[in-house]
Amino acid sequence: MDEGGICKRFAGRIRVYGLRHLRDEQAARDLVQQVLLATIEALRQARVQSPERIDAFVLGTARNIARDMRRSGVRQKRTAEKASAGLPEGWEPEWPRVDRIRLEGCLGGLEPRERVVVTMTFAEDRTAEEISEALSLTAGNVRVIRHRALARLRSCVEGGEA
Amino acid sequence: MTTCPVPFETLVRWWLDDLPQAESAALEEHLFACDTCSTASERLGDLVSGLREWIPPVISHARRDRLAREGKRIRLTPVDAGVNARARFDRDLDLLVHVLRGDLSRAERIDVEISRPEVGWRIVLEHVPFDRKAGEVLIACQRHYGDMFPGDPVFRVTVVEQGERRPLGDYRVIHELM
Repeated sequence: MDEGGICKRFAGRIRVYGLRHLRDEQAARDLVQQVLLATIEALRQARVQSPERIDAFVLGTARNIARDMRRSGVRQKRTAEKASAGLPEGWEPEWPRVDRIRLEGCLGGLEPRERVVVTMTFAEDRTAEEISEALSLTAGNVRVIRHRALARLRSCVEGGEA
Repeated sequence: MTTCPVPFETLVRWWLDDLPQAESAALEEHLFACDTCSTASERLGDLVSGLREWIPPVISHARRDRLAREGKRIRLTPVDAGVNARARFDRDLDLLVHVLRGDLSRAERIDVEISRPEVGWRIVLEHVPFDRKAGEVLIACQRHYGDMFPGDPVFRVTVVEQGERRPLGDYRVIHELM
C-alpha cells in the first residue's frame, strides 16, 4: 500500500478514534494528521516491524498521541499545524457532517421516551445508570431504548424514515 | 474475541464509553482492521458528533455554562409566568436563553409544553433539566427556530411533586429577530 493509500484507509478510522476519546472535532482532525505523519515517517525509515499489521501500528500510534493530547492539548494542537506539511497531496477527505436541521426534524419523530433518553445521553452527558434512576427504569432498559433510538435517527438522517 | 460484524448496540456502547475497558480495547483493534465495521462505526460517529453539538430546546445550567465557556454569545432573559417578556435576537448573538422562574423547591420532575395555539402546533418535552434551588428552567432559543417555528410560542411548565402534577404557569416571550 502506498502512502496515499494508507492515508485513505486510515484517516476515517483515526478520526473516529479521536472523536471517541478526545470528544472534539478539531482535536480529532489534529490527531489524524499527526498519526498519519508518524506512520508514514516510520514506514519510510523501516521502523514498522510487521508492515502486514500496519493497522495495529496505526492504532498504537493513535493511542499514544491521543494520550499526549489529553495531557497537553494546546502544545499538541500547535504541533498538528505543522504535521499536514509532510502528508501526500490531497490526503484529507471531505469529512461528513450531519445536517443540523434534518437532525432536529428526526429527533422530533422519536417517541417521547426515546427523545428523553437521547437528550439526557448527549445534551446532558448522563450515563445509562443516571438516566435509569431519573426515569425509574433499569439501566438495561435505557440501553435498549437508546440504541433503538439511535438506529432510527441514523436511518432518518441518512435519508430513510424516522 | 470481537464478533464481526460488530452489533450496533456494541458500537453504541463503545461510542458512549459504556463498555468494559478490555472489551473496548479489543473492539478498537477490530475497528482498525475491518473495513465493514470501521465504516459502520464512522456512520454512527457522525450521528453521535451531531447529537453532542445539538442544543435542545430546554438545557441545563451546566450546559449553559459550557456553551458560554465555548464562546457562544448568549443573552439571558428572565421570564415570569403570566407576564410577557421581550427578547431581541441581535446579529451578534448565538443563543437566547429564556430563564423561566418559579417555585421548584419540591419538584421531582418538570415537563414543558411548547405551543403556538393560533396555528395548533405543540410539542411536549418530558423530564427536562431544571435548577431546583434557583427555581429556573432554561429555554434555549436558536436563530433557526425563527424559520422552523415562526411566531412567539407559549411555554407551559408543569411540575411533578410527590407524584402529583401541578401547573407552574404559562410563559410567553415576544421575540424580535434582528
